[in-house]
Amino acid sequence: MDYRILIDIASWAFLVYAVVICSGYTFAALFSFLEIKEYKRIYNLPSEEVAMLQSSTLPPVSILAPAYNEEANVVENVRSMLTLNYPSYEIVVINDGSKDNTLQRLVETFSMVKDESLRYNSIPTQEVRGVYTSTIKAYKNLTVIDKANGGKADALNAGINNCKHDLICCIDVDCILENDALLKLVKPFLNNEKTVIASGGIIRVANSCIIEDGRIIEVRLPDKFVARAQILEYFRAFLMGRMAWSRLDGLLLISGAFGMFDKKIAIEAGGYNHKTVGEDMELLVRMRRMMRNKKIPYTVGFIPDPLCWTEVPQQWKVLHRQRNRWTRGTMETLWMHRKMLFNPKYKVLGMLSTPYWMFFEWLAPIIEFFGILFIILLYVLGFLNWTIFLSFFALVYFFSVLYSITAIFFEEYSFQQYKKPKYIFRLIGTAFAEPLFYHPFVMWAAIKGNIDLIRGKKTWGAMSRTGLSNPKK
Amino acid sequence: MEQIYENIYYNDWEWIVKLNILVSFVLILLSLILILFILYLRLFKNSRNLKKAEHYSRLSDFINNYLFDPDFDETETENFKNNFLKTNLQKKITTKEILIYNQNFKGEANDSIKKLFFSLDLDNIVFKDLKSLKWHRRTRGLYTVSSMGIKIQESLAVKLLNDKRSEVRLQALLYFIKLSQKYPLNFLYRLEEPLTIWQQVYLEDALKKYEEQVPDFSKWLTHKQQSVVIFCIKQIAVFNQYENIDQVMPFLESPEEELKRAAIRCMRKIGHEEAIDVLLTNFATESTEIKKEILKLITQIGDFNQLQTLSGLLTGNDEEMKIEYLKAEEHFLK
Amino acid sequence: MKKRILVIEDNPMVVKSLEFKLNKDGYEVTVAPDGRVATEILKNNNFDLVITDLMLPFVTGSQLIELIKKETPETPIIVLSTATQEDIIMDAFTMGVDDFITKPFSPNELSLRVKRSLSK
Repeated sequence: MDYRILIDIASWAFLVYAVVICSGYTFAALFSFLEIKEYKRIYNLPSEEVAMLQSSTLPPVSILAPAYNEEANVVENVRSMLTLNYPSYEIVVINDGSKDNTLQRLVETFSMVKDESLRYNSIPTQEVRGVYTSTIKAYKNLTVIDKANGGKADALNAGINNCKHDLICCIDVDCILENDALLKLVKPFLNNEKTVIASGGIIRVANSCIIEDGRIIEVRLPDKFVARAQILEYFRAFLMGRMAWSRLDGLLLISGAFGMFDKKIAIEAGGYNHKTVGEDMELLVRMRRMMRNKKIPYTVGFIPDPLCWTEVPQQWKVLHRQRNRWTRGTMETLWMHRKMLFNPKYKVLGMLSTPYWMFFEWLAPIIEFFGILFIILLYVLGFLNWTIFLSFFALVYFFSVLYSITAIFFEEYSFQQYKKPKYIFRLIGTAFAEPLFYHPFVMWAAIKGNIDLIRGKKTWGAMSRTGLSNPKK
Repeated sequence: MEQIYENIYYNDWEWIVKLNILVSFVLILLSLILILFILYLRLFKNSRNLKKAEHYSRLSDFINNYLFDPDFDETETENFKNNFLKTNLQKKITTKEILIYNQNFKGEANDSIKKLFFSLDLDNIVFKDLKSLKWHRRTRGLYTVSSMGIKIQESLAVKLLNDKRSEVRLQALLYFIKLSQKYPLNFLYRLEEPLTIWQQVYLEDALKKYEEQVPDFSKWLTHKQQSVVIFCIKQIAVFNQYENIDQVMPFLESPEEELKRAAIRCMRKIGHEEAIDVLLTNFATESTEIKKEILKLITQIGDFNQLQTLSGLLTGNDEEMKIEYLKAEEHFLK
Repeated sequence: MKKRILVIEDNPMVVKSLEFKLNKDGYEVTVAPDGRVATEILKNNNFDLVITDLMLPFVTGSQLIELIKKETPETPIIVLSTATQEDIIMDAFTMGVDDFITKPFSPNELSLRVKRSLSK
């Protein structure tokens, strides 16, 4: 009799949680739709690119690209960055103590020599062994920093110390940027009455796309299920999640693969924190917190155009490591900034964003995991009512399918990158399979992340890449 | 007791199971509707793109013939208007394409393309756009009238200048500059909202293309919007208005850092050395950013003696300024 | 024999107009929408004149200019660009281009300048 009440209470608790989470998603979808609709209108406005490219008022940008053991692709990637459509920018590649020939490749290809000018280090970093610039005019905007290994955050800090301009654009060196990526990403900084501290964009999945000379030639849908599932995940996260947060001005994360920051404010906040594996999220949270404490009105921009393409893990093992790391990064950031949680002083950030990250991003997999354990327990004890269980299961399953299909709809409505008709059917098919065959796996990776963090694991975990360049047909 | 509980228990869950099944069906139904909608959207977009491409290639042949073929026959314009400008989509694409030509060409070709716009009667739809309740249509309409040099009612233009959407305000600013005969910036007096950098980029561009006398920017140095003042200080440098430099000097001592920075940069571009002495008197109390600007000013237009008055930086505590000073010194000694 | 001109430009409207206009002027025109295609075309063909933009996908205009100056230094180059910044224009001339035309441009003027560069 007593345990029945317990079971009842637990069932109702799970139920309430499910209702909260579903209504959260529904609201996110509604907000995103409004935001996408508005953005489409802005996007289709007449634009005078000529005026923009000629202006002396457009702020110059420094691109910071940390590279660790990237000898295979680094030259090709730098070449493609050199052709971005922007009147004034520099590229700073930071060789983070690579063990291969990353530095030599760059120095030889672009005829670089050591530049001995004085430099001031606003943020302490590992030792910088040298700064290189090119002797050829066509590459005069390229700088390479050679430093002792210290991780991604440390490399970016060295870049911040050694770059010229007031706006910095941090990217992964293996990312593929669209031609007008900078032009679009800089827009929020200019077109705002408040101070803009950062702006970010949507990350797209580059797996199986046809890539030549560091440019996307044709967008293709990956053959591997695990990559397709991640496409849906990215649609949901960017087209629905972040669009909605951007409308509420509650963005907490600008993806480390592609984001622009106000350098002065980033330095004032202390630069990237190399003590966490979630340095991209942590920096933005810290910058926002600082601005709020100083009571300066500010905002964070978000551009939904597909501007940056990246390769996602296709091996389950690598995916597991990545998700494990993400979970640890989220937890570390939330822990470092726990004072913001439910703190009305931080407004949307305190009352909505941080609670969202806690309940939806951190706790969701844990609750789900215990939910599954609970079902197993009921089954073992012989209390499992199959009718009830299956009815709930159907509800949750069809909700997540609907959510993915809504995300596909948003993609169709906005940018329609997957042109072939068969791609649409495959994506819809993936939406039906994903909750059953992909989701449990990432949930498990998140649980492992929790366990690892409690045990005190700090490393990034090596990320083996399959290489972005497709073999020539 | 137990019996009662059992009853509630089972009734309760039975109700929920029914609800679950009902909601699941609703979700499935919604998914199916969305899937159908996605497919419809796909077909719709495809057929629209096809129509667009078809119209575009015909249009571009027509315009190029019109512009560059010496044997072009005027009846072809009539022909095009009567046969290929029937739907709204066709009119929209044609307007858009003419605007692109207008943007890229100057001289004779530009005059011809403007003439074509009117011969095709495309100006008729613009006025509907201007009065539309949808902001993106107002923006588009304004852009078209200012690009094509169409005058609109003054009262309507002023209303759009203070529109609640910044996109509309920007196009209204450009309208005033492009269409004014004598006083392109007089609208600034009536501007209530601040100017964003984005708007400043476009304003500067429009002023560079302005064919008459560029206005005297000192007139708005007392404007209540700080952004307008900053913009005018910048433009004094861009258009080399030396005669206004004395009126910019007071901003070197402004309590507003943004104004001060703009003034220093203006001095640097114009090369007004007198600014350095003013700035050196208060150097110690300035922020790091301003100190850096001042050092940059000295390296570009000052002399080594002026720099040396700051050699105290070398023994100070500020590491960053020490390096900045050394860099400046390196510049003079090279 | 018709003179051969290569036009490297990524704005489809400008490309089409230039092709049309220069054809009317009696030249044989080849177009390349980006730097990569241009590099391929330059490998196997010789031109009497090249018109190029500076900001191009894949390979920038300045890289192309360097390439052309290395392979066939006598081929005249006209830059057609949105840039008005003095340092960019100076850089182009130091690399050896013959003429620099800023957008927006007048097609008639361009056609005269092409004629002038070819008769040098």
